[in-house]
Amino acid sequence: MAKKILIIEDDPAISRLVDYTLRHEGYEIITASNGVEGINKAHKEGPDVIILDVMLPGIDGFEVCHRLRSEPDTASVLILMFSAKAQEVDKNTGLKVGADDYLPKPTAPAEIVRRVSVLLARQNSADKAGEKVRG
Amino acid sequence: MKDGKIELLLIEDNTDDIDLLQRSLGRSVSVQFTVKSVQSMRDALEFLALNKPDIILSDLGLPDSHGLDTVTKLMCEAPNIPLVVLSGFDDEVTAIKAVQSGAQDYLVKGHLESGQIERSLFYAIERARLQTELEAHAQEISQIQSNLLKILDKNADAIIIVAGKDRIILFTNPAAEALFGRQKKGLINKIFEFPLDGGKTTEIEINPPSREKTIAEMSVVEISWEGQPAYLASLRDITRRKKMEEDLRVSEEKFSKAFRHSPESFVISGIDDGIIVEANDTFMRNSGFGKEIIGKKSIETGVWAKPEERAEVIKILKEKGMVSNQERRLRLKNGEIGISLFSAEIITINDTQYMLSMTTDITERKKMEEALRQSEEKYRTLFESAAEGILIVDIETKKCKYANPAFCTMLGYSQEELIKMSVSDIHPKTSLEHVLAEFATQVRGEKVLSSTIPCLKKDGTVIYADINAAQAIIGGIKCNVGFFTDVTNRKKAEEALRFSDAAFRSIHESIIATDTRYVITHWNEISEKIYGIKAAEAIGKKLTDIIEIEENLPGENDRRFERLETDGYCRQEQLHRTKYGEVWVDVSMQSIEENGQRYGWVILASAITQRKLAEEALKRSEEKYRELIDTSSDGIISTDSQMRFVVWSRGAQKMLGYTEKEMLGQSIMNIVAEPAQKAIARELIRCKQHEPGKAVSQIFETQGLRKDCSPVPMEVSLSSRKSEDKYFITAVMRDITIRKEAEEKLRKIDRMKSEFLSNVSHELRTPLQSISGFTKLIMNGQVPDPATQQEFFQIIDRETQHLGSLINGLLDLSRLESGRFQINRKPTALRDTMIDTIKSFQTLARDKNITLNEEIPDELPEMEVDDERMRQVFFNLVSNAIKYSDAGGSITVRAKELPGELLFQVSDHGIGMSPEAMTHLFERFFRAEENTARSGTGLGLYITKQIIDAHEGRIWVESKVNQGSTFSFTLPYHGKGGNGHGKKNIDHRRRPSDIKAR
Repeated sequence: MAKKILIIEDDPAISRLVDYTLRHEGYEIITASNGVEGINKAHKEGPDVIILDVMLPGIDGFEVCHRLRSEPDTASVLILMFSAKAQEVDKNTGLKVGADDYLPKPTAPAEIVRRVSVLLARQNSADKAGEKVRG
Repeated sequence: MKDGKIELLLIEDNTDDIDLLQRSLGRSVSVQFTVKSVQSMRDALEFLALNKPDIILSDLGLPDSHGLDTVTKLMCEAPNIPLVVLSGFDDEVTAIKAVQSGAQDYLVKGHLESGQIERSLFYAIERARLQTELEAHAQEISQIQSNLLKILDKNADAIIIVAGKDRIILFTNPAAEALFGRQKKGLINKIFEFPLDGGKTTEIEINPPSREKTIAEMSVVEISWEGQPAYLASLRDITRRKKMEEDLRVSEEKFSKAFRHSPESFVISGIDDGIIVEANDTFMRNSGFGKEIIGKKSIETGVWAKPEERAEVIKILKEKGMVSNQERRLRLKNGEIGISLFSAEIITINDTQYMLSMTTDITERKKMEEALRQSEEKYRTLFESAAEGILIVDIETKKCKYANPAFCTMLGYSQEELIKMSVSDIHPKTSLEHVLAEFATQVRGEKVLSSTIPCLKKDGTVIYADINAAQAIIGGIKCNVGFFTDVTNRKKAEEALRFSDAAFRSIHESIIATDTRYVITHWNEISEKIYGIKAAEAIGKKLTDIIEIEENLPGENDRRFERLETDGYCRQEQLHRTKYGEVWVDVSMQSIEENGQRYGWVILASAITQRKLAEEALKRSEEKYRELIDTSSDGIISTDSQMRFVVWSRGAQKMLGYTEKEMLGQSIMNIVAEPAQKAIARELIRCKQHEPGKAVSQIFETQGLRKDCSPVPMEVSLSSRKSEDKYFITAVMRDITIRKEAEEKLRKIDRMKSEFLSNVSHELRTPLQSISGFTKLIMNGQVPDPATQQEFFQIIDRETQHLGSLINGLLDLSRLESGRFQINRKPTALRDTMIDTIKSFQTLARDKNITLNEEIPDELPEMEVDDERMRQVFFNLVSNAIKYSDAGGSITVRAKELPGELLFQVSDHGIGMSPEAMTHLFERFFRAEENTARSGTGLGLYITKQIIDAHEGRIWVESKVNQGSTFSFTLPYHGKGGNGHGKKNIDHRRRPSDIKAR
């Protein structure tokens, strides 16, 4: 079954870019343009991976990640943070709130693709081992 | 014998014989016999044990006793009862033996005639009786003989019987042996050497061997000794007696001499008749009599002052047997009557009793005694009545011997009590050492007067006495005579005086006393010092003559003294001037009064010149400092160690609103806001602990509390100091409200800046992501669809532009920050600029479903403006309008001609903004909505404003939340070449001093 990826990104251009790139790889894509919408869709659609921007209107990406992690049905979804906020401290914050990985902007589309598949592969094997590793 | 009858015991076993005998005895005429007969010895003995017959008649041969046995037994049993035995024929031998054995007689049976038995018995009894008598006589004689011998033996006198013819010693007794020192056998038959004169008593000298010469008195009588004439000499050892006689003679001689030559008068006189028997030389000498008085009556001699006296003496003598040391009046030689000591005894001379009297003339002695007694009485009177206390103490034992009444009163003891006490008891223990030392020096004679010696009264109080001492021998005992004078009062007075003297001297004030006329009577040391005038110079002078009291106003002195006279008291600070100088004094004048009478004045003055000068200096200095702290805009406060304000400057008042009056004495915590109180308290304590004076660089920020309870941020520096043992903490408070606000602002800007930077980073990266991402996709052939490609290229283009304008904006900001921002004015058709801008947003607007409208007059005049910048302005405003409008909204761009300027407006019906936001809208980095991508960089409006300002225009906004905003700005018409940027240039002005107008 094709993996489902939720993109939470407010910049339409970037949203389009990521959408197109991943769709091209065969993933099913859902998008949201703010945190609240993103959380709702996460619960509703149950994606396998969420690509999460930090600078969002309303609640920021860190908060979204934290909330997702607090909910049992989204607690274990793979979250890949994708942000122009790329300082060390931002990365740490991201990982602290439970992101599985953190990508700075700009990142080449190919890199985005690779990161996603790495995550999925890891999850796969972890699944197989019966354990989920959380960052 | 009973009743004239003779009791007879008959012991015969032959019954016939019994009968015979009984008949025979019964026939007796002359004597009657009572006969008891027994038939055996045993019965006889039994009978004899209980009875005593007069005679026993017994057969020799008995059943239980034979022959002589019978006799023996009976003699044994009844030795005093005559026994006649009966024997048979031819037994005479036995019978005779019986008589020899003790029986009186024997009778032969069968040969008995009548009457023979009675006769025999009778005679037997008689014989027995006679025998007994004879025995008694013999015993008597023996006894007498024994007695006589005893007498002789025991006699102390030696008894010697000497034969008359040949003088041979016939008999001696033990005493004679002793006397002659020879044993009987040594004397008997020896010749008696000494002459014997019958009827005479002589003395003989015996020289016994082994003994001293003995003298014996011998009395001889002629006797007949054993038919021969003999002498009986009894001798007595009179050696001792002789010796005694000799001794007596000697003694008598001695006595006689003594008697004669005794210095005492001795007289021996007859007791009753008074006849002088003997008188010794002394008597005669003393009385003037000679031997002629012997034989005279003592009374006649006139020796006795009164005859009655002798009679008295005799009476006593008879009663008591002696007279002892009586004082009697006897006549002396010179005819005067004197007193003599009279003693007498009864003596016996030749059986007659005489009076031996001894007289000693004590007239002189008596006179002396009297004199002494009188003198003693004199002294006693003195002693007793002296006002001073006199105590006589035994030097050795330190015990009190005599104390006179005055002394007793002084200490409260009675004489009896004092006599039991010693020196140690009458002085307090604490001074005992000193007292005893004084005592010793007195006794040694080194000191006569000991002053102020404490003495302990009976009630426990202490008095002081001067003791004058003298040593005397009284009754043979060395004594210290102490004369005590009570000086307690003096001591008290002295002490009081000493105290007042010390007080007077130790007062560090000038004390001047005057009489009522202000003539000086006392002038103490300090007065000398202060006024520079010696006491000698001052006393006697009028006060105001030597001290001039400065007047502040004319007539002040008169008023001063007037008030003084009325009130009696005055206290002032005055300036006194003497010929030696002037001095500020704090003066009290007090009148000396008693019982309503004024006696003078006492003036106490203390020099306060120094003080005054110091006060002045201090005041000036104080004013200086006060001015300093009051002019400072900082709040300067000082507290005491209790944290209460002692200094509250003007600045503090300005800062906190409290006045000095309100604050002095209040606690510092009143001006500290509650949250800061703990910290302040800590700081204050820390400050206190620091060494005062040492710079305590405690500068810290805190929150103060104004009077209106509003808080005020303060910067405080604390220091502590010590003055006169008191701690003071000084704080300088600076109102840092403005600074704090500025700091806050800076902090805010700082925050905004970092946010901005963070934002910028984000803003720059975001378009880059799109640009690079899409480019890469296309490059990698991942976008086969041309339409999609076109879409992507457009996105790239748009993002690139966005990126570009971002960069420009940053550059502008940079320029604005560093003052390098410039506008180039050129005549510009702003209409075109506006239309162009609108056009460029068409696509975006369409995408967002927002309508763009323009209300620009066609004939909008040209303006000299920086076209590029104006383009920027419009771009910014429209971009914002679109950003902050929701879908379905509309935006209108307007331009209007106004006098002197053009007005431009961009209105939207978007989300609007709050009044709060409006005030900060044109500030750097201000973003109306935080954390939204929508809001941009926060630079846009800021730069826009700068551009408008640079054009000397105005920009403002009107907005209502959720209704929309309208941004308006004006651009005034500008003269050509208006590139001044509104900067002031005063270089055209003349330099003030250099070039003068000609």
